[in-house]
Amino acid sequence: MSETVAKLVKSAMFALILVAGPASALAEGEAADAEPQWPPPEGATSGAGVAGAPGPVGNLSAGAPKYDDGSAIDIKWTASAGEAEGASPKVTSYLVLRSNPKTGPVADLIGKDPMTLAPRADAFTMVKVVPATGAGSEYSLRDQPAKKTRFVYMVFPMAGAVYGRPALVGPASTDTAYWNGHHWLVALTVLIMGVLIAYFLGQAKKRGKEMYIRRIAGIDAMDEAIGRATEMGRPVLYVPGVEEIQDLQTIASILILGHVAETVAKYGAEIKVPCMIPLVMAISEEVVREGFVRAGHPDAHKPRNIMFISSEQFAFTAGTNGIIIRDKPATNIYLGRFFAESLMLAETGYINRSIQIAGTAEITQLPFFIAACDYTIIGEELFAVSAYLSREPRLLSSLKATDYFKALLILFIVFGTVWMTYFHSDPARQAAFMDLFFPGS
Amino acid sequence: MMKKTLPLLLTFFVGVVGAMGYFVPAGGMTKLSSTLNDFGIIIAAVAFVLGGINIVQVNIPIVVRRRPDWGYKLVMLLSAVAVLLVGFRLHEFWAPAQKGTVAVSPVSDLLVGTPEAADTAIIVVDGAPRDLLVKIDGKAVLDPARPGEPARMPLRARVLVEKDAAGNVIPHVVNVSDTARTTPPRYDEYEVSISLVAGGEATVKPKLTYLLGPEGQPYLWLFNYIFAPCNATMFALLAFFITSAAFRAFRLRNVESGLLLGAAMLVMMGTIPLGAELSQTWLYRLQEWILSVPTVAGRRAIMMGAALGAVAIGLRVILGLERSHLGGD
Repeated sequence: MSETVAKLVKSAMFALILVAGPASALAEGEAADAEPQWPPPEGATSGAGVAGAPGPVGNLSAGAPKYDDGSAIDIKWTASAGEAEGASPKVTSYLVLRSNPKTGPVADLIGKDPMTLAPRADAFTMVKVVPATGAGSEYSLRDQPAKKTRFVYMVFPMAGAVYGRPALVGPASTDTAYWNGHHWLVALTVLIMGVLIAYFLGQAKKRGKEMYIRRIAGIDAMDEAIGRATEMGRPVLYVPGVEEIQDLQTIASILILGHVAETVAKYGAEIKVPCMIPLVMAISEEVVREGFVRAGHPDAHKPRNIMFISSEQFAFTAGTNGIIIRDKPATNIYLGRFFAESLMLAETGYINRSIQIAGTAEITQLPFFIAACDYTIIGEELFAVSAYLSREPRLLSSLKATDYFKALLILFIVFGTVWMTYFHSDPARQAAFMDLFFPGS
Repeated sequence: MMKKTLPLLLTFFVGVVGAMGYFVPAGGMTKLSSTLNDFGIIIAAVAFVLGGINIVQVNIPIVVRRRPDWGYKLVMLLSAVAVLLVGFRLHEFWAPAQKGTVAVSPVSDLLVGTPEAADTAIIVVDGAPRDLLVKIDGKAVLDPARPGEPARMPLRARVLVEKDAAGNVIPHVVNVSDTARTTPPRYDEYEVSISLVAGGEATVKPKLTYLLGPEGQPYLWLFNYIFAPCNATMFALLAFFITSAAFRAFRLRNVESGLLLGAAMLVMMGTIPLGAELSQTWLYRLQEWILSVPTVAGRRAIMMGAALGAVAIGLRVILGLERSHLGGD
């Protein structure tokens, strides 16, 4: 149906062109302001062999992008001589065309003047009109053809509606990569981490729970802080950050919330969890409920203590500060991703004389937490809290793996520093090092 | 099985597909990964409804039982309802079927017996809010008493009656809109084409609907004149919080706090306008060194550690090693 409509439109277009009569597109002035079009008007010539027509583009190439999913072809070229100062007619744009798979073998198109092909409108499809940006410019265009076959590309330099000399390139086809080589370093990191975790998991199973993990003061203080809240008869305030649930800091915070809720339930205290993201609230509610169930006090759980305040940053801050001022929690725990509200929350908690434990991997907010809170869990420690609290060998093994990977990383940093220092006068070797480990950097 | 194993399997599947979308371009992995992300967005959108319900569940009992500070809760609930109401495109429900009426009369009282009656007609626009812009044949009708300002309604405009080559009267296009003063407009637009005979009169009465919804004026007014100033006020408080926190943090107690105080003083001196005047001195270069060497080294160490921690926790969750969110073992 759509093909029939397209044919009708095409026929109507040609009929209009015929009615309008042959008009040479090279008639300057008349066509200077007109937009390039495809199919070309009846009688238009490609400029090949026409004196004064804009010259072809330079260095035309077409090929699949590296590590592509098989959907794109990149076309690149350099400016036509018709863009130079004083050139007449001056190139104003480039008309990029793609051969139509129905035309036949694409190899047959190479070397032929597209204007002489019959029916020429069917031989090529317009991809895009690219505006000229000045002499010496380099152009690139990403084409995403619907079909995966070989194509010939043709680029016309256009002076208004005047067709310059075309350049053809091809055949080119899309290329499906089964592996993104740009990400090899990330893949290697994950692989090494996976191997290390597996190794230490095995070790942990052999040695039981005797796996040394250095003490983290902020985590050790949690039990004490919750106990203080219990003794004072005041609630514990837990803020799981202000980011979406898919953020790893939020995930880490939610995992810790389970442990905190369990401890709160064991001590018979109350926990309040104000949330900025509704989905975080829904999950927090479930996690806190699980914590109370694990502690054997499911009835003590109050679902309304896990509340959605607002998804606006400062409205959320105002609401949470209101809870701190009104309910006077004895312990405030801020774990997750925070931004400008970090200091507002922590300072309000300080004024309220709460014990405050904060943790984030957000570097810009760490100084604020360090200044205003009693204990601060810094960067990677946030991701270790859940394992640290549970003391389960299978979780501690991942902490061991992280530590050993860090040792490898330090060796790599030393190696990189030595390399870059030794070859300080050889930029090519320095660039080779960077290209190897950080392609595209 | 349903409570533990299924969530673990789902987590594994989604985690692996997400990671594969990053590493494997082929086989539609990127698309599948993107589709799963879309699922996440839909779930997050649904959670907003839960958030709204939670706000009502938490705050209404406080208002009903007159708990401390119940008045604030009431203001908050009323504000939420007000924003919700103006945020809906309610005008689409009560928009009139016809946006206006046109009454055409072959004779205008204003033109009877005047020489203009031979080739002139009158267009009257009435019934719409006074300060809307009326264009007749694309030309704005302005107020002669207030240069550049649109004429106030009811307005009477004299128009020439012209005919085309076939002898047919060329119709006049009357457009009433709110584009002159406010962006976006308060009212929807009305356009009508009228054929008038010489000496005749047409009365146009637009029935324009007041626009609501996120692009409507009430919503924008609430945002610009209530929400934005309140937001700015909260943000401005940060300056005072920073001062009080800095006062405590920079108190000279031991060697470490002395180093912190010294570094802070140097950096502050270099940042203030006076510091720029001292840009050639060793003091300024020292503060630049503090910012560009030890600070950057510390930041990078934290960033690298955090990145590794993130990879580790990601693997723990995907591989099912971390189960505390599912209630432990």
